[in-house]
Amino acid sequence: MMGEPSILLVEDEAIIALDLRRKLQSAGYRVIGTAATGEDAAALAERGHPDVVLMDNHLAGPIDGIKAALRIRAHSDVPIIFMTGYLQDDAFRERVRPVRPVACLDKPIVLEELLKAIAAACRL
Amino acid sequence: MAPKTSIKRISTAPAGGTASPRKKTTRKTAPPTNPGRRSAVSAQKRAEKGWRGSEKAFQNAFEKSVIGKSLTRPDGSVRVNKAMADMLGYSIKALEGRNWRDITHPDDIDTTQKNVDALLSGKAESVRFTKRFIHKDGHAVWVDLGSTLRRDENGRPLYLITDLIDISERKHAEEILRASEATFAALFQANASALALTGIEDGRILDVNENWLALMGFRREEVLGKTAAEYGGWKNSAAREDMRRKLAATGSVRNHEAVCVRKGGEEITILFSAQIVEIEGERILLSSAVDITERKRAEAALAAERNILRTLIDYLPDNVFIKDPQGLIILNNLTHRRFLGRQGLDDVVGKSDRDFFEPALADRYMEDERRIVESGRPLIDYEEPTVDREGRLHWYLTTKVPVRDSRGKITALVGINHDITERKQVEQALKENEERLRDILFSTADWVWEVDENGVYTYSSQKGFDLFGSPPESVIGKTPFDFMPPDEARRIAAIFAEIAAHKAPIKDLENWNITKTGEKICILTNGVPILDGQGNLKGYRGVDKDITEHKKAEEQIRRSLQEKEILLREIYHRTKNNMNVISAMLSLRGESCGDEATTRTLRDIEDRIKAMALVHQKLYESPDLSRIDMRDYLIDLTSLLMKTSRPPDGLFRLECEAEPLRVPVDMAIPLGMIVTELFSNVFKHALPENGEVGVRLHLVQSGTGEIELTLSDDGIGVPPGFDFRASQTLGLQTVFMLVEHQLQGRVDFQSGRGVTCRIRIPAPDLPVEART
Repeated sequence: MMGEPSILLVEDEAIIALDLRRKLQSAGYRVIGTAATGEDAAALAERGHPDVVLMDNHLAGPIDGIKAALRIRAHSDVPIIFMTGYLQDDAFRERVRPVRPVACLDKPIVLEELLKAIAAACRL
Repeated sequence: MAPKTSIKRISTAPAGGTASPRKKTTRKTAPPTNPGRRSAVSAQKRAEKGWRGSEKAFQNAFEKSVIGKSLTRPDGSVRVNKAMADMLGYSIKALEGRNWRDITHPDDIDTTQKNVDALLSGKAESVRFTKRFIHKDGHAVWVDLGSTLRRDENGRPLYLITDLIDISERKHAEEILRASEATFAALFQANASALALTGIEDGRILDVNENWLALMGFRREEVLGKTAAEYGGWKNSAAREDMRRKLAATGSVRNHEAVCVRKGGEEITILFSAQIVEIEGERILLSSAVDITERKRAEAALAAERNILRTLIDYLPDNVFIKDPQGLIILNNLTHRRFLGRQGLDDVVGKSDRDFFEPALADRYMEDERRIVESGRPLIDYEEPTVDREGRLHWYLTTKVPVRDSRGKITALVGINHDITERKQVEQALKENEERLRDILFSTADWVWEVDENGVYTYSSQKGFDLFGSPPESVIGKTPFDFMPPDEARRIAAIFAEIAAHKAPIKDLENWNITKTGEKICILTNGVPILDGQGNLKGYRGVDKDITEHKKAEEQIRRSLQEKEILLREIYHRTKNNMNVISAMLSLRGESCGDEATTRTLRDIEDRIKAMALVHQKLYESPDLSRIDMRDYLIDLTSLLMKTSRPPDGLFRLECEAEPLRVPVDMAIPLGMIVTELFSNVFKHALPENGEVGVRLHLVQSGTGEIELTLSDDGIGVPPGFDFRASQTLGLQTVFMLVEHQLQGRVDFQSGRGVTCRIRIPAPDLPVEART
């Protein structure tokens, strides 16, 4: 891995995305882009080749986080970390399995946990 | 066979035993005993003397005698007197010189010749015998004759002197008698009755016929010459003597019933008749016996049967009566008399219905009976009203039948009344019930039905026809599955089979059906099994309710609720997101403001907003959207606080012990904020010099439902005399306000080694009024 690890941040809430981006940057990561929709996320992942994708499941538009992740997974093995309020939901866990996420974090996101998960993903 | 020789001549003897002038008993060889004969013999002797003494006198006596006389010469030629010539229808001259053989019956010539020879040969001085001459007109004339031989001085035969008496009439009478005797003997033997001849004086049996022997079981030789006492024929000797006395008094006994004992001891009842008859001058008892044992037995059986029948009829619960064709009672049973209010038969016999019933009823009954007599047709099982002595209405099932004599004439009516009042009352009640039920069934909106054990409809109320077709056969004979779409029919058939296998009731079984108009309707079926006496399932009966509208409304409500739930979840989700956005904005501001105090304040606010956001997250994850599990929430909240707000220089050991407890949102948010404030205080003030604090959170619900939340730490505590309530810190004021103002609870701080805060709030399940 060359230089700072690059992260694609997928989050439909702009303020949260902004807060997260600043925190990640403060922690030394390079955020190659933020996407609010699944389509944008897939396009950015294909174009930017991030080292890690940070994916919120709830997105704007018709495509949710899992579908967006599956599109990314179709041509990339990039580690994907999910952020969701539905971690205990069986339907969610079932649906997310084909994506093979490296981690699923419960919302609200605790920065320490997030950084630990990203660090682990970067070591893969 | 009875010896025929014992029966000679029989004539019936008049009472007292005096016989009519007796006819002579004659033997062919017996000497003549009648006066006529005696006079004829003496005349012959006189003639002989006269012959010797006076031929003239002899000749005169010969010719004038009124008795037939003849002189027969050895050559057979005869001289006869007038009496003899008259006897044979000839003149004297016509017979003079004729040979005796010419006028003798051919059958008697030999006998006559033998007698003549006996005289001529000297073997007999005189002969006497009967023989037949031939009358001039050809018929035989029986004569009784006696002859002697007249000889000359040298002993040579001169002629035979013969006296002849016409016995033709007597012979004729004897012929008739012989025929009569033969007839009697034949009748005696062949008689269908058992007959016996008994000596009247000694009572000994002279003869019995075969039927008598068969009746009494004896052999002939066992009884001949014996008395009844000796062979033991009569059971009762007194009865026998009684019968004999009656016989002696009247000469006969007719149909006297007696008990006899057969050989072997079997008793039989006979009808005994006897009459004294005279046979050969002897008075003999002719008795006949007819075995009536069977008849007596049959009579006894009949009498017993009659008695049983009478008793039975008397004690039948039904009225039984017999009336004459005019409607007058001949006989009735006890039940009928009791009904009429009479005791004895005498109180009712000869009376009519008019004596017992009010005129209208009596006329009705008598009119019925008059019609039966007129038409000859019975009235069978017809219902009629009647009124008893207390004036109560009864209903009878009545049968009246005409009774006819042997010529077919109606002589009586037999009537039977069977009281059916109770049945009529039950029928009436049943009818009313049926009408009520029919009206209910007709007017009810529900469908009442019955199916047999194969699920085939056997009954349907009007509603069934309204739904599935007007002619009854549109429903009756079909099964419920015929009205269902195929998939539904399969589903319901499987359920019904399971229910029927257990003979269980059908409870609230919803099923979809297609009506006659093609409309899809939902029916709620309830039913109970119909079992026979052995507990076998014979079918089901129940009620179907059309719940289509209800189902539609229910579906609408369900959808509406689902929408509401989705909306609510969305709102919780958005609220949580918004709070997280606010939290992120505070975080951004805090990081960029450059002022430590402001940053800390913003982080405090961020923590409280996260505490609230977490409640909303738990809410939209919660199944009922109105309550959350406090245990779950507190674990997540304290975990979050420990991660985000903990001072970096301290070591906090958290021990969280909470009961699963579902509380409403308006309680969860204040509790979350209280915990956040208390944790904030611990993080800020409890840390000792060694930098290690144990924090214990405990949540429990008491038996009364009160929720107790305790947060304790083993930190440095507060200075002695510290008044928590008077403290001006925002955090503590917030805690007091939230507990006491918002949750109507109590808060209690204790300090020692560290601080313990105990909060008690009323049970969340209590109504709001009870909590305020």
